[in-house]
Amino acid sequence: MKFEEANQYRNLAALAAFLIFSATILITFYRLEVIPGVSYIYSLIAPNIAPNAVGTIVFDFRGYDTLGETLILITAVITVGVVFGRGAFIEEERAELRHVTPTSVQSVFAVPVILILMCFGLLLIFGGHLTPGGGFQGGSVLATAFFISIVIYGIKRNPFHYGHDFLIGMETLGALMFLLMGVIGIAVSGYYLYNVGANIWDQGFLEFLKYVDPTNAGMLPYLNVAVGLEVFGSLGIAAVFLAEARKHD
Amino acid sequence: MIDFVGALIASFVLGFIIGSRIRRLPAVIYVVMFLVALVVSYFVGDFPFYTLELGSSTIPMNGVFITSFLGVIFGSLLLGGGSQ
Repeated sequence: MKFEEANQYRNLAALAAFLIFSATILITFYRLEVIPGVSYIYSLIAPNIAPNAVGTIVFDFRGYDTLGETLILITAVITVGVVFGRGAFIEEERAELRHVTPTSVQSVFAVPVILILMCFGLLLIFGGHLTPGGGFQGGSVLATAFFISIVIYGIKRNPFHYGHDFLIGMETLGALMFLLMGVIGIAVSGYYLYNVGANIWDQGFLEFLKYVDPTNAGMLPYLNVAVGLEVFGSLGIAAVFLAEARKHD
Repeated sequence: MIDFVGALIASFVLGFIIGSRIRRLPAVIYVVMFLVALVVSYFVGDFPFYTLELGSSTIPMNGVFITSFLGVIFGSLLLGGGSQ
């Protein structure tokens, strides 16, 4: 398949996705009824959905807000790519941190610290619906671990060799997971990003990420995973762009 | 009884994906790091409800932390490629 032909299919797929998500969001807004005092009622029942009431509010009550925030992150990364990304795509002009040589202390402690930070980031992602933490925080910790590796090793000699393709894949996978979760919500209840599986509505079929508590957070853990991947990919790709930027950019 | 098997599996899978891009390191680093991870998971404790239980006794270690660490290590070993 030629590049132009593949590009046409890609544009068609993008158009179809755009139409589907626009239609679902418009249908939801059309059906939305604002009930006075719903915020007060929601604040009362939020701890019955998941132990972490903040996570419940962020992903359940204000899921649209979080969706917008994740898309803002993507926009920010695109901006970084436009401003600093030239060096990443033109081999001759690449001016990455070539002369980075780790000191003795960095050589000994860098890998352990980065690995432990990554595991802690994953723990934050999987505990986001239970305790303070979540996708944003966990993804940021993962990306911070990657930042440390770039500062210490540079790009080429980095043992943590997350390239453009991998990070963009993570970002796309996370954003797509979030959007598809919303479609599951509209299929079950007619509302985009409806929290399917929260046990107050007795539809607990999303119990893969079950935890030791009488509550059932429904889709919140999966949304946390999606946001975590998306934030890790976004911040990671921004770090790579900045590291590979030309000196006078 | 462990009643958060899903979280253990998911953290292993996600750790595996992230670890798949980490270059293979010398074996001694993995052994030392596993011991360090055990210590860290002990201090992390039952945050958040992921304490390992064996029968009636509770092991004060964080299960998800350990499985995500194992995922990262296995991903690095199997798919990480050779060290430079």
